[in-house]
Formats: sequence, structure tokens, C-alpha cells
Amino acid sequence: MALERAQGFGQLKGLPRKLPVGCRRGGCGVCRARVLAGDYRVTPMSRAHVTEADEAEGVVLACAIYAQSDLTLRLETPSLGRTKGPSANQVFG
Amino acid sequence: MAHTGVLRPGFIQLRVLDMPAALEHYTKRIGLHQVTEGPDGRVYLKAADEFDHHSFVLRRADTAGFDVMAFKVREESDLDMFEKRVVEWGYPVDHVAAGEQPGLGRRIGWMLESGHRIELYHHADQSDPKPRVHNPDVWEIEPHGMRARRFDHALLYGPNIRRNLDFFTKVLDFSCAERVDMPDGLLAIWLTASMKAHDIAFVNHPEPGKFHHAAFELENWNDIGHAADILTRYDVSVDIGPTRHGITRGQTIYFFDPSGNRNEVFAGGYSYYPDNPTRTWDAEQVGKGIFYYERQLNDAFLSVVT
Repeated sequence: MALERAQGFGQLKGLPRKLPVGCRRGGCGVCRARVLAGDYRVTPMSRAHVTEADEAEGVVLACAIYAQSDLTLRLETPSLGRTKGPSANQVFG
Repeated sequence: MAHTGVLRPGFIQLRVLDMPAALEHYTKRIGLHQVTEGPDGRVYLKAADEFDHHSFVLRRADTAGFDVMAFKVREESDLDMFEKRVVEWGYPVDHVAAGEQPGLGRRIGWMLESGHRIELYHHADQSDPKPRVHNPDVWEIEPHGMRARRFDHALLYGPNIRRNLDFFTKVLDFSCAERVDMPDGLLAIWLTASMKAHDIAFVNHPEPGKFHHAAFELENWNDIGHAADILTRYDVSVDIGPTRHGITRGQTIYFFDPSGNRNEVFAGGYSYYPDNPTRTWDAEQVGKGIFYYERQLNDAFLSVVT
């Protein structure tokens, strides 16, 4: 089961922080993360958010990975710096 | 005739990561028909209630998102008239030869300051399935999936949307049906070339060329409910809805295709006449403007784009 989906079903307990949820289909990049330890397989992820070099280093979109062991992740989401609420001068990245 | 110049959205071309998954989504779930596949692998789709050759184009790529949106103009000579006006405005115009997309005549195109490519064309062959015109039934073949009737509009995200507002109203003769103004500036505009409440919309966003959603028109609120049943049955990723927009008054669901491009199914909305004043929204009420029943934006509205 993809990681974001497992969270949606309440199967990821005790996470220090909720995984960000965007399109859930590997396109928008809000759930970008780095796998520090563990095995997984991936489904297609937009190269706008995970380049081939990124992927080789363990950068993933959490919605597009299937854990094959325990995983240690560090979020590298582009939306962490986003301002709260709508603004005509939204901060990105 | 009253309606001249730009008639309507003609087609949008989107990038997808997985073509077979995209085709299943757009034909079986949304209810479009595949017209043809081009020699370069692009796939051309349409709704059965549309006459023209295609209205939705998918291109396999390593990234999801927006390639181009094109509008159909009333007369062939409109292409020359608009080319002159776009060039006078200051945007370089390029030419796409007839046949670059199957079934379409020549196109002219340029880049907006929001980072989006826009094109105009006049000629389109017709393709099947299409409505019959003599003693027509309500449909020729039974609508399937979500029963989409047409590609309706798109919402695009990028910088400089005040320039887009000026360009679309002064150069392409669109009207601004609605707008959202925040204390620090213009947040969003809904633009129409027709009697629809919007044909294209823009939200201010720091990254250029981003895509928020492409919308398909459904017949009524009951069909929105039917679409919601399909989304759950086939485990499609849903953003929000069924709900309603205060802006345009359309009934809606936002959801995602298998590459993360947002789709909308849209029904209703008011009729717009070109002499209608622009409806305006402010920071305090923008939540109700976007999602009328929830009365607040969700996290994804401003941040999740391809």
C-alpha cells in the first residue's frame, strides 16, 4: 500500500508529523521526502519534483512509494514555507 | 451574429506520466471518447456531445501539467486580426501548421506573462461520435462514465495575472465575470468570451506555467452525484466535493487524474452577458467564494498544482 494511502487508512501510528497530502498521484510534489533508511518500490513520480539524480539519492514522493520494510523518512516538502491563508503574494519554497 | 471573435475553449493539452492509466481515467471514468492517436503518441479525446474533432489532448511526459490551451475563433480572418493585436500588445506570435494536431487547421500561439501558452485556431474537422443535427435524439450513443458533455474551462496558476486580465480583456475581447482582491493585491480572475461564467481563470502564484484544473461540464447536480459515486467506486483521488462555488455558482467536484492533474466536473453556473458588471470578492469572504458550502478554502486549493 502506498505510504500516503496507509496514512489515510490510519495504519501509520505515532508519526511525529503528518505526511502532507496533495494529488496522491505523483504529480504535484507536496509530499516530497528523503528516505534515510529502508526498502521500498516506487510508481511514476513527476520529474519536476524528483529528478533521476534525486531518485538515486532516495528522494521520493510519499504518495508514490510502497514500503517493503520499516522506513525512516525526512520530509523535504516545498510547501513548508507557505504562508497561512490566501495572499496575493504567496510564498513558495 | 452577436458572438464573434473568440468563441470558446477549443482544446487543452496536458502532460501525463502513464498513458494507459490516463486513457482509462479520461475515457472510462470521465466518459470521453478516444478519437485518434497521433504519430508522436499524443492521444486526442472528445465528448460525444461536441461536434469538433477533439477537445482534450494527452501527451506522455516525465512531468505532469499544462502544455497549451487553445480557443476557437469564429472566422478564419479572425486569426490575422488577433495576430496583429497580440503583436501590437507586445507578445511574439508563432504559427503552428494545419495538421500538427489531426483534424485542426492552422493555429497562432504566444506565451502569457503567467508562463502559459495560449493558441487560437479557426478550422476543425468534425469527428464521431457527435450529435445528430436532423431530428436529433438527446444523444446518439448512451453517455457513459461521468457523462461529460464538453471540455468546459481551465484554471491556471502563475505570476502577473493583472497583465493577463488586461491582455484577455483588451486584446482578446474577453470580459472579467468575477475577481478576488486581497489587501495586498489581485488574487484571482474569472474570464469569459461567451455566456458562460468562465472560459478560463487565473490565480496569482509565484511559479509560472502551473496548472490547477481542467473542467468537464455535466448536465446537472444529479450527474455530479453520479460522478461522486464513480470516484468512490474506482478509488479516484478526490480533492473536495461534491460542493458548490460561490464564484460562478457552479456545482462541482475536484479530483485528480492518475498523474496528479486536477480535474473538475462542473454543472450549472449563471449565464453571463457582456454588459454584466464584474462580481467582486474580498479576503474575508473568499472561502465562501471558492467553496460555498464549506465557507473556507482547503489546504490544497492554493498549494497543490502540476
